[in-house]
Amino acid sequence: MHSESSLREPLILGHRTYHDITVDLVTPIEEKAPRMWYILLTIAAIIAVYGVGCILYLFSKGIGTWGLNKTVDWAWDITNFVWWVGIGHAGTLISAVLLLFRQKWRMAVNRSAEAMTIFAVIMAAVFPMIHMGRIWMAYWVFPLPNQFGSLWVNFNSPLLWDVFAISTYFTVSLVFWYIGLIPDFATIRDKVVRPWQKTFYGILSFGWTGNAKAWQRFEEVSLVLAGLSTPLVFSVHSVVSFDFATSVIPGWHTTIFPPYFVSGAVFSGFAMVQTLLLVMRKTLKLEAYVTIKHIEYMNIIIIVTGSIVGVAYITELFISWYGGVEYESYAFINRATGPYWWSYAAMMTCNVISPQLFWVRSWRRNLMFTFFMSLVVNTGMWFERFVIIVTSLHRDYLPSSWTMFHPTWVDVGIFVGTIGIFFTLYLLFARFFPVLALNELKSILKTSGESYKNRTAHGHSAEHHH
Amino acid sequence: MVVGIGADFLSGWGSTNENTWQYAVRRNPENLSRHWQFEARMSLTGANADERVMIRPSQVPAIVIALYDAVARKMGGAAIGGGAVEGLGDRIEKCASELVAAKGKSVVLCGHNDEGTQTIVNGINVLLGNYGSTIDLADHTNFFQGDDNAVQQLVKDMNAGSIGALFIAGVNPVYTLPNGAEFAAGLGKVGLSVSFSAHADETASKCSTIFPDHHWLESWNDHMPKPGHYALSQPTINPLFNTRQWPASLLTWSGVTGNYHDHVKATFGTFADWSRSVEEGGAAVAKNALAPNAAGDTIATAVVTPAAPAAFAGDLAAAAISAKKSTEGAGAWEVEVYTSEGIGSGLHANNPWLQELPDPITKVTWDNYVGMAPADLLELTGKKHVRDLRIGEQEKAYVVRVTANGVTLELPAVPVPGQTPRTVSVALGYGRGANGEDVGRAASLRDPNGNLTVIGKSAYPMTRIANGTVSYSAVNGTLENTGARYEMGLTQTQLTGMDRHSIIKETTIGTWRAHDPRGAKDSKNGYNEKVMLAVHEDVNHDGHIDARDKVPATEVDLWGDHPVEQVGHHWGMSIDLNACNGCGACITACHSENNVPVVGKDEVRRSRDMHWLRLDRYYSSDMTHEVGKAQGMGKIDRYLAMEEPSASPSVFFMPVMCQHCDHAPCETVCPVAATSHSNEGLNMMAYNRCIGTRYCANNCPYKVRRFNWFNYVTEQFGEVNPAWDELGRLVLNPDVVVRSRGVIEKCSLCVQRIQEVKLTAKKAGRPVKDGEVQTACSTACGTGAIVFGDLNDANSKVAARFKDERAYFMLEEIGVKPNVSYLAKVWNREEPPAIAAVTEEAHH
Amino acid sequence: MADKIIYAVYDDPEQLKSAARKLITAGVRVKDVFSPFPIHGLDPIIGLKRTRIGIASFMFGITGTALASLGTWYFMIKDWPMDIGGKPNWTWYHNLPAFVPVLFEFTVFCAAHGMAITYLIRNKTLPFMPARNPDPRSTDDKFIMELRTSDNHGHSAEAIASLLRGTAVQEINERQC
Repeated sequence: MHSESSLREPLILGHRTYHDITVDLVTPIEEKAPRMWYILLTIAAIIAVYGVGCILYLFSKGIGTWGLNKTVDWAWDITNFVWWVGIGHAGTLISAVLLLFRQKWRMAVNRSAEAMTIFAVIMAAVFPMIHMGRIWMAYWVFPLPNQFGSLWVNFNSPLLWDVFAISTYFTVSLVFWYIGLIPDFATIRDKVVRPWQKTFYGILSFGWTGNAKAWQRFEEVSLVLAGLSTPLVFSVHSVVSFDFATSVIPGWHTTIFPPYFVSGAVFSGFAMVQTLLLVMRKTLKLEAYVTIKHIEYMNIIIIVTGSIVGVAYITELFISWYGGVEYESYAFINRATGPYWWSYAAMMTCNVISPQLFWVRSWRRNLMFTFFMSLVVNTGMWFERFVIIVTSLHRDYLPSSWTMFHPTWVDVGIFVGTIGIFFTLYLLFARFFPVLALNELKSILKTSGESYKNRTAHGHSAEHHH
Repeated sequence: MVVGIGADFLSGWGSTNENTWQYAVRRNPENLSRHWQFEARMSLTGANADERVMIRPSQVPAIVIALYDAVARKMGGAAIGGGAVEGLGDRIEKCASELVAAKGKSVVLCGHNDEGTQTIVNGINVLLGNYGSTIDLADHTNFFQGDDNAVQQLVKDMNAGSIGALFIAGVNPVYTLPNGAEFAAGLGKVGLSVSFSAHADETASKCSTIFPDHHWLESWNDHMPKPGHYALSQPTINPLFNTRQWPASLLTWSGVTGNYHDHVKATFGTFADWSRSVEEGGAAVAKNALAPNAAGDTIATAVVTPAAPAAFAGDLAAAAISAKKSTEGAGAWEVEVYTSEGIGSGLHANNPWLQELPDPITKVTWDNYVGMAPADLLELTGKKHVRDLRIGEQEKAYVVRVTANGVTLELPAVPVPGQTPRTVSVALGYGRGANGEDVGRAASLRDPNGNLTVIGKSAYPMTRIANGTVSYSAVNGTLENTGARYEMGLTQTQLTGMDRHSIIKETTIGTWRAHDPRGAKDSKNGYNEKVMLAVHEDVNHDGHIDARDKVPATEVDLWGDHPVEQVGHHWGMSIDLNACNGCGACITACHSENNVPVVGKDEVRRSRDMHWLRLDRYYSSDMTHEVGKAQGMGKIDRYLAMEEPSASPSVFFMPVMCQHCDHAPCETVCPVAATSHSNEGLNMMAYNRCIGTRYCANNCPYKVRRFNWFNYVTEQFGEVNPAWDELGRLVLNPDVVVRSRGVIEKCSLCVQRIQEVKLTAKKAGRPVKDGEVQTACSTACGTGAIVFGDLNDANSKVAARFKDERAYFMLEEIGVKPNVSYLAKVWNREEPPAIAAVTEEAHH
Repeated sequence: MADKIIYAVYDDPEQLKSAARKLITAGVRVKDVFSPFPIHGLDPIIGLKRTRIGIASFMFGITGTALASLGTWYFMIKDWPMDIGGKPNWTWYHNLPAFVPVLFEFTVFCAAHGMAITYLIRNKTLPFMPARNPDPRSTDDKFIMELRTSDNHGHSAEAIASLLRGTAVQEINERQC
């Protein structure tokens, strides 16, 4: 029987039984939601509807309602796309990579983090769709037989790789998340009494029985999906980075982008997980499950990935000087000192300096500080994509095409709207779905639960030494 | 040698078509002319000059006199005296020396519309022996025969009530005369005033009757632009409206039977074969065919033998006095009004293509403005750097109030490097329909509230009659900042070229004559170097493999060529930067040929013009990497300094369109394969496949791709985009589709024309001949700068151009393999001083 | 003969495992175990063979690679090859570097979804399928062992029950079927 060192901090605080875990997580679903939930949902929904309205306006009038122009053909649209996809990567990393590394602390976090991934990737997918000039022909990116020849697609194009990568990533994440949810839906199904709830969760649970063979397959599938999702984390954001890395534009054309983007994605994703979890653990009273240790672990990942990102920035600057290529050199000088210097400064302070603050132990265990920093990091990461896209485009090779980019209210409205949609979805998730992985937590209760570790649990010692 | 004194002979003065061609022929480095320009504003001509001297308009007579005196002294003749000019140092002396050395092979031109000044200029040309050599009086242009004096007399007579009937055709005097208001008042006193204008314009709306004329494309006409050239024009469409050609009206009213076509045919037929001439467009006839007889009638008479060139009989002393009077009273500021390249006199202000055609120097569209020296504008606005004066989407122009000749105009100020300090320039032809007259839909714009606004302001009131002729410089000017700001639409906001040598290649005649473009024999000779990469092969055969073993970057390639590149046609284009003078005719030709939408000022302001072909214009800067390094400047400071144009800069023009790269970065990134490469070397754009992701536009290093941001065939653009209604749609070229919203478009090298010629040749069973395919731009180019043809045809003109030592590709080192090459610009200038000398100056 | 189904309810997975070991040594066959989470180490005890779903995933993956290779070859090389940016496309091998991302992603796609669909079907967990756990508490905090007399001809229901009572069983429920 696997036992854990008593020196490790417990992952479940207080004294809990299996039934306690069930009750802690199913009761908020069973009962009426707290008033704060309705208020937050209303705000989020209003913002979401505004965003949808802006999108409809975009469809009716054209891409010209954005601030793009002949030199800067991508700006907020693709910045937002990469920002959202990056955020999504943390959930997959928690579910998959940390599973492969047998990090038990992920179990309190992975369900909601994976939900965050799903919603973030949905938001991300909005942008490549709506940024198209003729979205009604969007299906042409798929190699479907047709009567134009058949005219197939261009597999040389990074945008096409994106189609395959993002659809694979989204569907695999969805499947991974849902397969993990099935046993928990069964738990809810078996606990609730109200008939509509029983039917609802009955359907969602797909008739899960919980027999040994099913669990055996479940574990194998989780492991294999984790093994498949791990390369997805790395490959998908690398493919997204290829949108820039394979181009010829100075500031885009660089081989450092795949690792830079992937670590940046994990960096921003964990920050978003922190933002969500810090609020959720308080409102759903899950402090015993999502402990300070969990927060601290995630902040450590933020230090690591933030440092990689910082090193990448410095490498880029160094190479732009060392390489001696005039255009590359100017691209970086312009970033730091040109008309968009303020966005570069925001990026540098938010992304390079802020994660280093987490080296201080008391700060990385401080909830308010972590929450504030998580917002800072995500702001910085948005600016990073903005800097990469807009500052590289607005002044590239030919000075005659140099211009400025200014966003319009439609650019801003759609971006804020996606944040609204994201939070709407997330609030609905937190209300109707189990936000922690019940079955996984129960499996580590007796090894990592506080009362079991310090032997204050009832009946602990006798049972464990058979 | 050509000396222009305030004469924009390539764009606004004289027979510009002829001047352009003749000038371009002599800009070939094999036989390069030397061009001096003395002017106040940066004109198109001045931008092409080898030596450009900034002067004030009031100085023109004095300069002309001084030049005469300098030439006369060197040739042992008598000077006029009294032509002292301050601030020009030794420029006039130097110019005179060169003129004398090029005796008989030069021409001195002056744009000052004053008889006295022109008399002295004639005198200079006489001294230099140019008459009978470069100037042929018998081969004159038939334009510009208007008589300002006679018109002014007419105005007086009208106001005296002694004009019973007045017929006005082809002119708009209420708008264009300095005293247009007087003419308008006079019209009220004319018994019968008839206008033949097609619009109820400024003059027509004040006439008692309007008999609208046909459009010239609906008309039969004959023309004699210069002696010996008798041209015909025929209609291309039946009259669309209830109009009549005004000569036909005159015939009818005179009781002459028969229509105008018959009349033209009868007249023409006495000189040349009618049918053949209709097919060919005209005929060469005797030089004095249709010369006026003694009575002033131009009725065909017997051929008259040409007289010997007349001897010079001008009274130079009197001319000098009269000339100086024409510009006396100079104030703190001097204003020069001019006709811009696109709008000209204002006749075509209702042509949206021309309103959207950027001014060749400032790249402003849909507006006129006050062109100011950057230093003056910095002083006026309190800014420190010229880059802070940049006019862009959110960077508005400063509105200034300029007063001269008792007239005040409030217009936005645009910095024009090369404009003489304390002088400004304003373009004519704007402010049409300012009092609500109907001058055509595109002559006004809608403001954000939907109200029609007049485009620009008319500067004609600032002209005046001086010495009996219209003077276009108002020297008694004042100027102040109103504090207001104004949005403007410019197609290019960047002023300088940032010392980017793989884009801008220019050199001097001395360097070119060394014929060592790569600097192989001496690095100082290199003006067309290739970017080299060190390779691991002993390419220089010195027995070692080290950093000296370099090959051109373009030879390092992971891929082999597609096998079809040497088979069949491989289209290419070559642009001679010496021949190109930056006029922009190619842009309008491309627009009309390819149904490119006109988007209006607001979209241009947001950097969304749709020009497939553009003319990049780069001013030189005092700062370059070499200069900066010698001064010990860091890179950041250097780059900032490079954004500042010189006060009297050299100008570099570059027509840029899709380069049709064989390794096109745009093709690779389209997810739906909407853009691919043809077997004939063209980058193809399948509009109906494009889903509008715009990655191709981002990946183009030359930024030649344009996206349809809106549906331009909607009411929002109805005022400016011709294709909005049934009538406007007639302007579309049926050989080319109109693109929908959300689709990328770009130069196609006029593939419709290529296909047409190929088909014609195929039907005739013969190969395509060199020069048979002409793109719209190559057809419209008045200098032969643009040459299009088949690179696989070893004897084609374009293949020869590609092999020229001056030939280079923009950004060649990034490996995209363009099929458009440029011939580096060769100036007839002295070698620039060595950088060390600059450092010395800088340290003093 | 009528089949009796015995459900032994435990509080703790370790206790259930010891009980199962005891029963197996006594020659009793355990039909199934229902638990709220997987019990590690149980499978060899009750004789569950290793699942082959991982192998299935591998097969699906290989299929994905093959399909993607065939597809890219057909679309880009065979059916309508185009000169796109001058990229070499005379053979699939020459254009292969561009296809790697798609090959990889499609492999993962097929492996994951092929396996997931197989998993759901094999587990009989599909929308609208009924739940078959004997006691709703087995998804909460109880671990239930199911034994059938029809599997165990050498033991009567009472014998099994008495064996069970020798373990830390919380409840024993019987059902006829």
